[in-house]
Amino acid sequence: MKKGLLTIFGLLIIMSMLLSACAKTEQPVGPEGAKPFDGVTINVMMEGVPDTEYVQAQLSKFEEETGATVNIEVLNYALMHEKLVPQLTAAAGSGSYDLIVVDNYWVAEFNRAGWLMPLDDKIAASDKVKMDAYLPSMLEMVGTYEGKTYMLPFYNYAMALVYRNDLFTDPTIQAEYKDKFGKDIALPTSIPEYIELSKFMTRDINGDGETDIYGASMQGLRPDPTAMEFLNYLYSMGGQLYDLDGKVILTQEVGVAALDAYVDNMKSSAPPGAPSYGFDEAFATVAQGKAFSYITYNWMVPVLDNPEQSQVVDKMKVTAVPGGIGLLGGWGWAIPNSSANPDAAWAFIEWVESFDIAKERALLGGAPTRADVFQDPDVLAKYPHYKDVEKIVGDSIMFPMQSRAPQIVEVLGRVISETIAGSMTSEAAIQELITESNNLADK
Amino acid sequence: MAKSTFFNSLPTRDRKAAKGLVAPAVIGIWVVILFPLLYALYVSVHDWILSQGEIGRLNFSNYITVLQDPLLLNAAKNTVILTASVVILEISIGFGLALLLNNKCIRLRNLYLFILLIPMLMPPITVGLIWRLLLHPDLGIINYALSLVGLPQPIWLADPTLAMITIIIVDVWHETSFIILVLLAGLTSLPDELYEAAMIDGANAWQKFRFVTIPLLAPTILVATIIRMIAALKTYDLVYILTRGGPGIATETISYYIYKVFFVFLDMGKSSAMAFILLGIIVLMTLVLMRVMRRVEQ
Repeated sequence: MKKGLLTIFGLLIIMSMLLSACAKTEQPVGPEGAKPFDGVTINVMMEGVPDTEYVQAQLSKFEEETGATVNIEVLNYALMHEKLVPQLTAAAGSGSYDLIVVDNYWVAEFNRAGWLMPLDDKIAASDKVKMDAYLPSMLEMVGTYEGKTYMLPFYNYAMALVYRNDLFTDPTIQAEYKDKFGKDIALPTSIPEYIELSKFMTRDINGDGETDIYGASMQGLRPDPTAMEFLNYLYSMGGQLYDLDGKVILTQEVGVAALDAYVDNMKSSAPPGAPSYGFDEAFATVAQGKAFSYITYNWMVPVLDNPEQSQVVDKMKVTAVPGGIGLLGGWGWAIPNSSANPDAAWAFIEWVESFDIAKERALLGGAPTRADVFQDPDVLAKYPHYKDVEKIVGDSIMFPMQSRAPQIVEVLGRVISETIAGSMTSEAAIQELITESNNLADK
Repeated sequence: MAKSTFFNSLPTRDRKAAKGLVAPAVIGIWVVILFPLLYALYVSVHDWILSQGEIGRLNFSNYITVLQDPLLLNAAKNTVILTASVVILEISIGFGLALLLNNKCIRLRNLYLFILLIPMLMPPITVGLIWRLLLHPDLGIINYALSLVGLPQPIWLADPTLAMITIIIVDVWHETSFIILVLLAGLTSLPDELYEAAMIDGANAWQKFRFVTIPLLAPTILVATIIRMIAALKTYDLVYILTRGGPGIATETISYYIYKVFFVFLDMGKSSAMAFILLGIIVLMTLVLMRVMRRVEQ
């Protein structure tokens, strides 16, 4: 009998441990005058990018004001989706994350699955959040979905052409260009012009027979690094995957032309290892002064101007993707339905997206989403190129709002990589992309 | 034969108590292993895209569909090449190094052993990241060293053929230490008497190795082979970090492909069916190898 009781006692201990592990974080009731979120921990998942670092640098103000502790889990992009999804499927109030940042690729998927909390009521009741301050392109991408607001835009990653201005304005190189092409060197206005310039800039400077400067730093790693890069070529050459109604409109002709141009640039003007490069390797190539240009995020210029990370300080400039239209990307703050502390999470969003904090972040080098921050005199005084960036963010095209966007990116990345590797022709690659885009389209 | 010798040897009262004490562990195993396994089996015969709502209709053809998937077949081919290569190389190199380290005349052998075991202490993700930097075509130290002696500098991870060879090299670097450890443990436990008897019979070094060491060590070699083969069949982390299955689909393995179908495509049904097929192959191979091992032991 005693041993039977012992067994039951043991089972009870195990159950109580399990239950206590599952218990929610509750907001404590503090004495009068206490801070509103004393003792509350807000768990946030974010990507390891400069804007996350800027938020981390600002956190202490929010924690002092509210008493809350903000615990930011920083992850590599590739790990975020797979870690988020199981948490988002958790029952209301029982997920690990109180607040998340949502990449624009995931917006339709998360909202169609009903994983995000609508924010319209909270916005209407707030005197801090000003929705009309955001650029319409950002709100459309990481703000609203089918007429409801689920996110507040956090930062943009519109892609642009970052290039070495010192090489571009070098009189010797300019003269050499004029000799070769019979015209003055100019920033490319189309993808074919960009490829021509990249090939021209690929050169052996010290005469040792080895290439010292590559015309273009590129990232052929599948799936998202290469898919994102290629879409700039596609958009600039007039192609798109879907129309606004979600119908596949990519044609074989434009798709093949864009893919051939992309592969041509990678094989003729990018470092030999570019087909396997991810963001870090492509960035390192530029930062070490081994590349003339790089189609990347517009906010890379402040990063490349940081002497701790770069050998090309004050040498880089940014302009629109050749052709004027590139890929628009961005992240938005959202509260999952599985959030255990939605009120504290909303208080954080209100704070982090307030004008003063957003401006402070922009001054640190952050990528704005609000027009008033883009146009702020202090911000423009520090980063004059933000005037161009605001236009780039307004003109660029976002990835199609499809609920299976991560899967479309996967297919896109694979067929591009296969074309670069030579195991697939560009015609077959685009045909497969069109077929799979149809299969994966929201019905 | 008694069902359970241990429990039957106990008095009735103690037997009940013992079962009660073991019960939490048994229940725990059921909860954390058997339930997910059965649930995955249930999911594998259903249509279910996680982000598209609740579990869908019963669909036994998931198994047929995935077996006709050319990407899975390509991943299977890559997995066989990878597994066969790494197991053969690791057993050969590991056995050679274990024999060397078993020689008590070698000075500082414990230091050598310690150095050789360092890769085993590192998680595969770290190994992948370190090698990715080492193998960087322009900025990596390996190509820099090759350039110093005038050798060509390969693009290790960007060439479809070389990428698989590179993954094999990195896996051999990482996992051979495990083989060394297991085989060295086996070698040190071999009885000296048999070697002495062989010496009295006039056996030379090769004959001692061929007729004493190999037969006695065969079960250990087989165990090491089984463990490495199962692990190699599941290779995922190195591929994820080094190539993400590329260039193209040149290094996509079954585990990596299953991961993508599950975590990227969120296709619970098809990925579970693939996982069960992989599980079936591993169980089958393990049974075959265990039977071979039993025969060798006899």
